[in-house]
Amino acid sequence: MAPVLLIEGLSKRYGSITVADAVGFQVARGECLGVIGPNGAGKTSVFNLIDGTVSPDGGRILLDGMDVTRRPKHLRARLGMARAYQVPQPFPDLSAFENVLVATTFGAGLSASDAKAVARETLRLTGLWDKREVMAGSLPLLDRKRLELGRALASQPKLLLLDEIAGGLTQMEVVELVALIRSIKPTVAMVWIEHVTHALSAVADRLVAMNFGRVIAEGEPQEVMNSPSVQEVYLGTVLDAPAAD
Amino acid sequence: MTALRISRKASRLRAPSPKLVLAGCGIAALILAAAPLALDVGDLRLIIEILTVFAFAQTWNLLAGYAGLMSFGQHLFIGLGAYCLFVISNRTGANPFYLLPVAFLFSAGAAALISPMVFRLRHAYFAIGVWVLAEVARLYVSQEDWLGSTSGMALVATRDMDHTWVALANYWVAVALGVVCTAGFYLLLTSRLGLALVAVRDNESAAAASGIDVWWTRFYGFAIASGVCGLAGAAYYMSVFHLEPGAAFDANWVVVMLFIVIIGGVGTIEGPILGTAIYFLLRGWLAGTGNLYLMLLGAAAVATMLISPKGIWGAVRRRYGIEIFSARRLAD
Repeated sequence: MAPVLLIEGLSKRYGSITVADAVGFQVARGECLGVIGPNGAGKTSVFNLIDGTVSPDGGRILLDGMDVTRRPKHLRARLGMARAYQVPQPFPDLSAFENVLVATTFGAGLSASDAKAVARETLRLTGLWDKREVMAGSLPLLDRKRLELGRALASQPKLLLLDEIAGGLTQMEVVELVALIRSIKPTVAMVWIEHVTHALSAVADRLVAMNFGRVIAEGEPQEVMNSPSVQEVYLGTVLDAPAAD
Repeated sequence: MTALRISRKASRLRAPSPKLVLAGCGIAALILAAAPLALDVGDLRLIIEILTVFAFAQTWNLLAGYAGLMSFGQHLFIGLGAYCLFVISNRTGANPFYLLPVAFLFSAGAAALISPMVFRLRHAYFAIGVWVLAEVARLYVSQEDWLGSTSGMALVATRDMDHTWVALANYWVAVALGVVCTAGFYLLLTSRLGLALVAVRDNESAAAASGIDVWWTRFYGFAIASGVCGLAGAAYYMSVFHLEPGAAFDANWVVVMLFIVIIGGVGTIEGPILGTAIYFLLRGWLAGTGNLYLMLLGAAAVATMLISPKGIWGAVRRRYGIEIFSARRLAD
């Protein structure tokens, strides 16, 4: 099957600092690609390049076979990219329902009544139904994280970019989150940056490890985690044991 | 504990249905439209001024409170709208009332033309950038004889018309403008564009990530608000029959818009209604106090900002949980 996302030779430099150095990988529908790497490895920078927040110096981004490298961010969103940010990015003066409604109306491009119906469904799915009329700015962190994921899902994406959405959650919440992600997985292609590695290994089919803006290993999760280059980067960090948090 | 109670109240705002709101607007408009039966010409003139100033303020509120665009140069469009109407009418002899849509299109078109330039500026730079353009327009008009230079021009076409009829027509134009700036803006805010505007205002990056074209959304907001502002400017100066650059392109217009929106409550339709009432009451009471009047207005605005940043209506809404023009989209 043709990949939903294919990136090739993606590069970005700020002066002498290289945040992405010929990064390339692909993800197919129903597949989850995990991205690991130490802080500052360039994981979020690659997301910024993929979703159009930053334009690359070189390389190509293909979404469903279409070259979107020079397309603006909002068009990529309409073409089926959605991203849940590491730091939730709600519309603070809109209610939780309206936040999700923005995504169903513009991202998914649904008609008014369908947009409302899908928004309601999304709030139930993400456990925010009881807080549907609460302003997003006054939601606690966990709910804002749920809303972030909900907004991304509500745009009915082909490609879902998840940026450390499990960070800061309790063990129970991570279990719930993993169950939710697994239920969505068959319908989308997913790229998931995560430090909570046990959450990632529960869902990811493949892993990409990054350091200094470069892909240093790619393949089966166990294989990548055990590879010498990854072990070297994480020296002192036990990756394959269940995390204590 | 108190805070908790308030926030729970605020999350359950009571708001009448859109049909009821529009019906209310219709009744208010009919009452206003029939008011000339009971009022004399002086009263009508005051109501025209109140309604047009309200329209100025409401367009500024649409920009600042909903489109997230703070502009200190909206008097540019008051002047452009008014000059457009005066110049075309005087040159062609056309009935100025028919030229009102042209004034709207001219001002909206001017806003559209300057957008590529001023949208490169953000926040304070944008606010001042438009202001600079307003100054440029004032200086240009002041030097051009065909635009009447500094002494301005009078509206010729209405001189030969029946004066009572002209006074009434001006009045009804102002009432229509009031309706556009309440019911019209209310409908705009409940539309798709309204949702896009508030999303862009709240979080530009997240709006783009949700598929909203940020630039064009702002563009429509700016063009509509500036077009209506120019329309109101044309209507205002048509009712006073005389126009000069120092008055039409006067930055004090923006001061009045700011005062009304801040006092009443930015980002609500009700705010400028309340703010306009307060502004004209204060102006009436403080008439004849000279410069002290401006200082008192300033003090009132500062006090409101410190006590209730969302204005008087913002405080009322939070305290009592009531809303009349609610563009909020409810889940059920």
